[in-house]
Amino acid sequence: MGDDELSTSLSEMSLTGSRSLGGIGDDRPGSALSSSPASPGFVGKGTLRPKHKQQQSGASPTRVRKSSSPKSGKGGGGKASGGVKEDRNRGRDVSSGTTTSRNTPGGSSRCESERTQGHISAGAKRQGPQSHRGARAESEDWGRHQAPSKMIHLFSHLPQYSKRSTQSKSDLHPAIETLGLLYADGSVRGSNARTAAMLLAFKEVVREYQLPPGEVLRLDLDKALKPHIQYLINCRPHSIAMGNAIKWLRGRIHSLDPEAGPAEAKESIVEAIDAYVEERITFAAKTLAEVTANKISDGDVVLVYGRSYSVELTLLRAKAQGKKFRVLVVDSRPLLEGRRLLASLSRANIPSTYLNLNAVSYVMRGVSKVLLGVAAMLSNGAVISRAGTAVVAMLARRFNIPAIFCCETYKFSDKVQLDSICWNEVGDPAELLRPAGGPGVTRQMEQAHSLQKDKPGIAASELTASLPQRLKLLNIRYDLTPMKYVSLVITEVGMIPPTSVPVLLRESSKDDVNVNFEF
Amino acid sequence: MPAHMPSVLFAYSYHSDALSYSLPCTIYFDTANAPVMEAALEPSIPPSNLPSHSSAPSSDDPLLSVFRSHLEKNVPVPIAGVQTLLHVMSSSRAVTIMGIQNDLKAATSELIEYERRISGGRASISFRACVELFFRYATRKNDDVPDFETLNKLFIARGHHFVANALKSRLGIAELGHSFVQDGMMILTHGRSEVVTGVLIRAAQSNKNFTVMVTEGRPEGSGFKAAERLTEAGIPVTVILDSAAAYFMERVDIVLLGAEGVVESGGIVNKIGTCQLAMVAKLYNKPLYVAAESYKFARLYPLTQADLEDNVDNDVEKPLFPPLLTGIEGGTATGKVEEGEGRHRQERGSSGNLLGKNTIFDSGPGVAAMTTKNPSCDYTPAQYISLLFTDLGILTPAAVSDELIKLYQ
Repeated sequence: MGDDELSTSLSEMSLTGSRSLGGIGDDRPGSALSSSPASPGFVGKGTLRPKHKQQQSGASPTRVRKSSSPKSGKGGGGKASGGVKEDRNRGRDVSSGTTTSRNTPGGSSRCESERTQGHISAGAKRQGPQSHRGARAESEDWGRHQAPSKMIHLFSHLPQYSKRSTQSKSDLHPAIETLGLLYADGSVRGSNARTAAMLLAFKEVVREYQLPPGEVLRLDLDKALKPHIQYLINCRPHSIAMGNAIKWLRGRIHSLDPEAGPAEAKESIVEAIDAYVEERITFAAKTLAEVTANKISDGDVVLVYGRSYSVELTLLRAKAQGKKFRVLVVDSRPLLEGRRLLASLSRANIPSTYLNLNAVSYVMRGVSKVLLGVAAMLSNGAVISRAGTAVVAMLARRFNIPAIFCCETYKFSDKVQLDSICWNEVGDPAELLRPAGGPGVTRQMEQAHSLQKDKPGIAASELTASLPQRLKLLNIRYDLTPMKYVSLVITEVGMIPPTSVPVLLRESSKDDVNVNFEF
Repeated sequence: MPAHMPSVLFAYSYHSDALSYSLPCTIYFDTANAPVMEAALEPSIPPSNLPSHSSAPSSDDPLLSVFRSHLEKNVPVPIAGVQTLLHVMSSSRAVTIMGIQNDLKAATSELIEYERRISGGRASISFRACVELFFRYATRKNDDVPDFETLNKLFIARGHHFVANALKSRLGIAELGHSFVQDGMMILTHGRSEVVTGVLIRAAQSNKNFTVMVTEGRPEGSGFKAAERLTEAGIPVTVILDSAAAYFMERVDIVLLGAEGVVESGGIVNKIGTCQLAMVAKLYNKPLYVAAESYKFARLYPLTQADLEDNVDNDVEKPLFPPLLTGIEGGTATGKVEEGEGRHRQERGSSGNLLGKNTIFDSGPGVAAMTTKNPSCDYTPAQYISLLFTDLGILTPAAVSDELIKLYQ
């Protein structure tokens, strides 16, 4: 099963969260990518290529429907694509398929176009939206071309989710390309997994980087990394934690000893990346789980929301400590991440209950603790986390139940944000309409649904295309929980109140290299 | 010696300088023997003997003798503990830093265990916090120091510095805090705290006229002791029932409390009843100040009352309803007796003395089936606290965690 394979490939990268990356009880077609025999070499070169060749055979260059994954592509040969509907044409009539080469250099080699096409079919389901900042440098502001009628005004400043190709330039490292696809289709999800995978992919890039004659390594390496970073951002906007890691990496490269030889310098970067992943992510999550597990006592009813890696580790740890407690797993559409957590909890024999976010007010009075994951901890004490977290935390506050947030310190950010609007990520609007057995919103949608009943992923794109003009969809990924709803933040260095986030930032920045990069 | 034990034996020796009962004695043991040492400790002191540390030492344990000798000098219990550790440090024969640290760890756990017993079965948060802080502070590594001898001297010097600072802290707090007390104020306090008394006496010394209202502080009646101290200093004091706090709150200007421990959130752990007092104060928008030394800052983060360890005491021997207002020796209520107390006084006239039998619940068929709970302290969240007066300065509750992070990093 793809689950195990991916975890093998990720454990190679010493990412303990890998278990999470497959798809238990998950209908997301993205996990199909990992079930391909080609995937174990997660950071290896060109691992996706054989599969792409398969898909290409028999692909007719017609208008692309939602080709959501290589697997579904394989299933219906005609649906796998030779091209992709471009984002700016979404909602209008699309004449022909092959409009993908917009940023492909004209005379690309055969090998490269192979790869590109493969990527299209693999990544077409969820293609990279635009980064809200750095992407502008690449002069591809695709959000602008989004059909304006489908844009929510309040969120129009954010990079819109787009059907943009994740095709790459020729000089990208295969590890990065693979990772980009995994980001885009949701196979690698969650700040810890995404950051660790990104750093380990960068490690490969650094390892294979050759210093051109006459260049200075610490300048040229940074330059060489930029397109890679950009590509990943195109695949999916990076989280704040990833931004921190990128910032750190670039700072590390810039502070390289100019006297050191290239091999030596590269080796020191590689070692530093390993250390970062180990200390700031893997080990931090373990320590954090240990501390948090001590906060769980016998008889507790712990409510958790979605699936956070550190929360999952905590619950398993508490169970291993012999604590007797019950877990309420609260889940929400469209990702239904909680199902994976549920699977893992039941494997560990932890008594659990599964419910949806809309039932949470009913169960809250019986809860004794609320454990929540974090995507980023801001310096005003606010928490950015998966959408829905704020609702849970506020409700917990209303019932006087402590809301405990688990956050590794690398997710701490010196940003200040007051709402969920100025920074967020817009996900695929079609996810909201993906029918889970129910009827669609319009008659066309119902028709599309009945046509494609057995392929829910494909139906979704049809559904968005058939939406009435004035219907807009908003699928945001994060929300912001204000400080007053945060009872406690548990980090690997201990338990702190949310008011002390700036202190930890200040203390930890003393020994860090202070280089400020804009992304 | 088992194979897994360290090959170096650490030497403990306690040479007490001036005290007659400290026989020079040397115990050789390594850390693995610490449990043996603890098992050999004197039998536990019954809580009824409190305060037992002022009596003659009943044990030969040199460590505890030193501890008691410091307690006799009327220093706060945590500082006596730290002074004992300092003594361990200066008399340790260990020749490595690890050795010193192991000596200290063993002595620390012994002291905590002992303190738990003399304070009636519940380890005090401030004691643990203080010895931990001392350990951190004194034995922090310093790479510049070339050899062990110099480093050990540095450790001891730091230790003395710590003790000196800790002893000065109450004065510093009184100096900082007394300006919050103004002429004509009515100040409500709860339980007995030397720091609070210090602040109030300092304020009285600077010719401010104010009155103090003290809750009686059941079950041990600590409020009476505080009232006694304040009356001696010439401050007008009114003693009220614990349950009358809300009744009097509208007349109160500020609430001034001590703390047994200050936790990471900026909240405090203090004598039972503090939390409800703080809630009432918040509701009436009365500022609530906490006076506490910085050595009481503990790396704890209670979320609920249940997070406080061994707090709920089900001991039926301990009277839960002692008649307080007259029963306590020398503790006649001073100051004006208000109507509420007047009524009370008539009622409790029929009750016995403090430790005597409980006349209300002495008999009756339901008594056997009754359970009592008698927690000794509660947790007051930071949101109810306006400011903390500490020797580090006047802090907001949020700054406590900042200071703790600085202290522990």
